[in-house]
Amino acid sequence: MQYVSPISQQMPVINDNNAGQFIDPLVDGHKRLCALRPRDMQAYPPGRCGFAALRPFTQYTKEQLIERIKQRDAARSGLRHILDSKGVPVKDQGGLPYCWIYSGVHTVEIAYAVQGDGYVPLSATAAGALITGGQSRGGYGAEAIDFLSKQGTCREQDWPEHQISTRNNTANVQAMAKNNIITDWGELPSGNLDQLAAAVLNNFPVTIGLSWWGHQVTIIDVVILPTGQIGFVFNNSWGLRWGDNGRGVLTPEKARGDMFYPISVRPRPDAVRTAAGLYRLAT
Amino acid sequence: MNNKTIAVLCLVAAFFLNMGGGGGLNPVGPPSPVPGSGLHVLVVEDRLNRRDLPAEQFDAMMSADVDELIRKNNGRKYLYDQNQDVSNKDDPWVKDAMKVPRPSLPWLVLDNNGKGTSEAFPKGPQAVSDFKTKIQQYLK
Repeated sequence: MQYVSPISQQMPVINDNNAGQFIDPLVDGHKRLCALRPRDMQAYPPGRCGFAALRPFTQYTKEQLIERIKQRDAARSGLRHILDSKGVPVKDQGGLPYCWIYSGVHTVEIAYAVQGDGYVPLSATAAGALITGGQSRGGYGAEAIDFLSKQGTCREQDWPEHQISTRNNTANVQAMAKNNIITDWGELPSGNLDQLAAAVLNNFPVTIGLSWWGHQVTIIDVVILPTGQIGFVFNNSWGLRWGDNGRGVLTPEKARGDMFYPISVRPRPDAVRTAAGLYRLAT
Repeated sequence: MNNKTIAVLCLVAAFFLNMGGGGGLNPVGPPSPVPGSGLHVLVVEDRLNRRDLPAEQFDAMMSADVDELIRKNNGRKYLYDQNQDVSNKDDPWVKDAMKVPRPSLPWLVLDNNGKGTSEAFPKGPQAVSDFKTKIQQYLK
């Protein structure tokens, strides 16, 4: 009997037949905007990365992949298990067309949680507003990951989500952002599902831009579906009421796009995790 | 009871308290290479070569069960790359633990109130349970 990953029946599985119903839905009273824009290939050419020594991930055969997924489910060692154990929720972009930066910032939150620096809700709105100059516009993963590796982003408590006015950009915000910054990142070959599976099985969260959806989400796990297909579990940025606590699954035909992942984030002071007002700024 | 008798009784009492494994304050085991306060676990990895680790060793490093055991005992676990810059950390234990020599990777540095170890991270088919056992050993 074939192995099936233990995922919730509530988790929507997006495939060729049902994909249309997920575009620009109404969730929690907000029209959810799929706002992925075409990437500027001159400004952000493919293959760039924030680390010089990257090499492709060792790929798995289908049999190896299934065996590895079984092992991880048994050992509770995947990103999905770690995030659930540590209580890291999905993000909520509200009515903003900021999926591209919400997903990028979520990969940073995940990377911090995995390396033991704790879960701190980070402000994706702050990063998005600073990239766009306070505009409510779409974007793409490459500009998000590039910005997060150069500027970082502050906590939600420093710059609340959904407030795009750049008047929020205080000296404290800028200093706090340096505590939440990507130090190394990589790009996977666009549309290469073998590399995507391998990266996620190595517990690197991947932000992926899906042109069919016009949307950017964060891949956090690989599972075996009841159909025997491989599925890519993603955290959406439409809050907890979408899908299964904000999560869904993409079948392979729906999981092709531009992909980036943080390798390392800068370890931060414990004071960053504490209550508002206790700032310990980066030196 | 004279002072000498009281001193002897105190010594005997202290001996039995340590033998009995009196909770987290006097954990059993060799002295820690990085003595600190509370339970700290640092795993140092070569992040770019994570893909080359045996599956069981990877699962041990990432195990949510092990993380929960550490958190249940008010401990902290860090998983850092060998080249990670920890100058921004305010926990001096982490900075000191990152300086411990590491003959191989992944490497484990563990401390619970002055008892601990610095050694190669568990590997082999039982790596997850070996890691858990190692931590429990220093919780006694």
